[in-house]
Amino acid sequence: MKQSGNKPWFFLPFILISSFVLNLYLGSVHIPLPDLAGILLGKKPENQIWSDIIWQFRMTKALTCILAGASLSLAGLAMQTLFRNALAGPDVLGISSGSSLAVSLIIMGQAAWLPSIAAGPWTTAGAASVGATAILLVVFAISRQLRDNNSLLIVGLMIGATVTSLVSVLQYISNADDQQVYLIWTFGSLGGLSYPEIAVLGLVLLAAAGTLVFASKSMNAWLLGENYATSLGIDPQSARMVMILAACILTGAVTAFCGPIAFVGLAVPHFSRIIFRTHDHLVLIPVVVVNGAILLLLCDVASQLPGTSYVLPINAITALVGAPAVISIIMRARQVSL
Amino acid sequence: MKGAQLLNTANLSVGYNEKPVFDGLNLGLSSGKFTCFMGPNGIGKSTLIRTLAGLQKPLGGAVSNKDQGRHPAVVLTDRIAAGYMTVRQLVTFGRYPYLSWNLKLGKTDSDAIESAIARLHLQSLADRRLHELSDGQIQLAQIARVLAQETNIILLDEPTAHLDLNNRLEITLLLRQLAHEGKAVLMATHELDLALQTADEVWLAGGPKGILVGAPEDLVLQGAFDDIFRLKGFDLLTGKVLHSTSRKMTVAVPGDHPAALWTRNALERSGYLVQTGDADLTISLSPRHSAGLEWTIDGGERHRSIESLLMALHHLEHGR
Repeated sequence: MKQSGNKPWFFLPFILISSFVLNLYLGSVHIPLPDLAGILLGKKPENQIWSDIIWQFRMTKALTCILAGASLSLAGLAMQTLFRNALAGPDVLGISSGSSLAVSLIIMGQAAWLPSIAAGPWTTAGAASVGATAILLVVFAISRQLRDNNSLLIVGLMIGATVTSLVSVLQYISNADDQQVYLIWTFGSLGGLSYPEIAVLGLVLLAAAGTLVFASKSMNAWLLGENYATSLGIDPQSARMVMILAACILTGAVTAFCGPIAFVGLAVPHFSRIIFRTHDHLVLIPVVVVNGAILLLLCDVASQLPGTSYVLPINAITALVGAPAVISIIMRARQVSL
Repeated sequence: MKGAQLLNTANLSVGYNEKPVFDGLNLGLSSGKFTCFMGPNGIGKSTLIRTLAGLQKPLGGAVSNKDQGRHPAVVLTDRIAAGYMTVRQLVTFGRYPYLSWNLKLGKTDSDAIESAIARLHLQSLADRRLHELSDGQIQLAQIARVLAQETNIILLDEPTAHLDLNNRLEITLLLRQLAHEGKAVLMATHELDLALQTADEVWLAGGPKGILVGAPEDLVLQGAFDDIFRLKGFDLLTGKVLHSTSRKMTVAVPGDHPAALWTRNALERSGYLVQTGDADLTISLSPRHSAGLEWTIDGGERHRSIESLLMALHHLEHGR
């Protein structure tokens, strides 16, 4: 690949806007583009239902795609830098499993004789965040002992497996209705969020992205290893905490509202590094945010099965569409690097 | 400022998990001095360097750093994960202690980076990415990064490990020059010959008394190196490898022309006892009128290469 200067910068906003419009345009009800534009500009369309479809369904879903895709990708970037490992990601190190366990305890906990908690969106959200944080802290405590990224990954995978089997046990002993509620949650869902919930996701993303931009210097230095970073005047404790907290809150919030969406967090940072060929987080953070949003918008478009009224679970689509794309990009780049 | 102590330790104890590798160290690094830190593998040189650099907590005692609160610039043996980084970007890390969050480079910063790159002759590699480079080239970039950091204390853990012979010598001389310009430089190394010829001071670890400190020549004459490295077949007092004499003939090669020196080397290597006075054979050297040299055995047989000379000597010995 040749060094392409600033060119990719030029295309990204275009692709983001087109993906956003495409996402709003496609659906089981056909709304012509001029009417779509009119509705977005606040005009009264000839069909009032169209306005409701756009504002109540498609817009919330498109905004959720943007926020969830951006958040998960940013969490993946923070974790890959934290562990200095190309395989790190929210779903690889058991972080998402932690959320799943917490949510399964909320939904199916009665079967395990736990006090029942009303499974509203907010309790689910809180539980998912707490679960993600708990597992990441465990993984991180172990990582301090290991001082070796490969052992850490294996430990992370083992923790994920343990947590997943706990969830299986819980599923086995709980009743069919609760099982189904939980199963549907695991498919992932980008629709059905209210505007206040979207605002929460947006605030979380804004806070985390802002913090990480200010931590770019530490994150860049972190790539040289903790020793070099410290010798360059970076405070390793606070750098580590910023990356952990950002990754946990981002993963926790998205998993809470949308379910465990796999793959995006691992793939988008690689994608972005291969296209932009940089390690600099001041560049990578905005790029990863935009690329994550684009990827999830397009995955959501694909999940609608254009021309039909079927909608597939987003979790099936992210990997089905995204994995071959990432494989082909990595094959072309010949190697993956941080 | 030269001669002023920039870093010293008071009763320092370093190691991991309460197990000290060094105890009760009272060491100092001074401005203007190039110090080589030697000792066998696994003795704890890296642990001490990390502790001196403030990257690892001492088990006891204290390190005091008088370089305006700046961490010493270090080259460690840690590998770098970021393959998309260019050499210039790696050198830029040297300016991180002086940059704010947005990493905006001022003129002082750019000048420091470019002059560090130039000083290590890395201009042609400056925009190459690390995953395209060899370990030795990355090592050179790391040393440029250390220069750009402009600290008064520099600590290096085997910085010449991946380098070829020329670069090893050049880097060692560069580090010594930096020290003589007023920095305090400590280099852990296994390059005995380079250290003996360039170091102002040697720290020698591995003996029963912790770390011995002294001028390299003093340590050689005290036999400290022999004790620690248990040197076999290498005579440090003369700086030569000892060969066992397996041949029955003694040979003399008079003269101090480099060719005479190398001829003696070849003869010793092949097991002949080389004498200065009376010997069984005398080999004389004469430059030939065109090009090259000529070896004459006892004023008779002439040879045009050491290889053919050795062959003839071998036949002479067995023909007797």
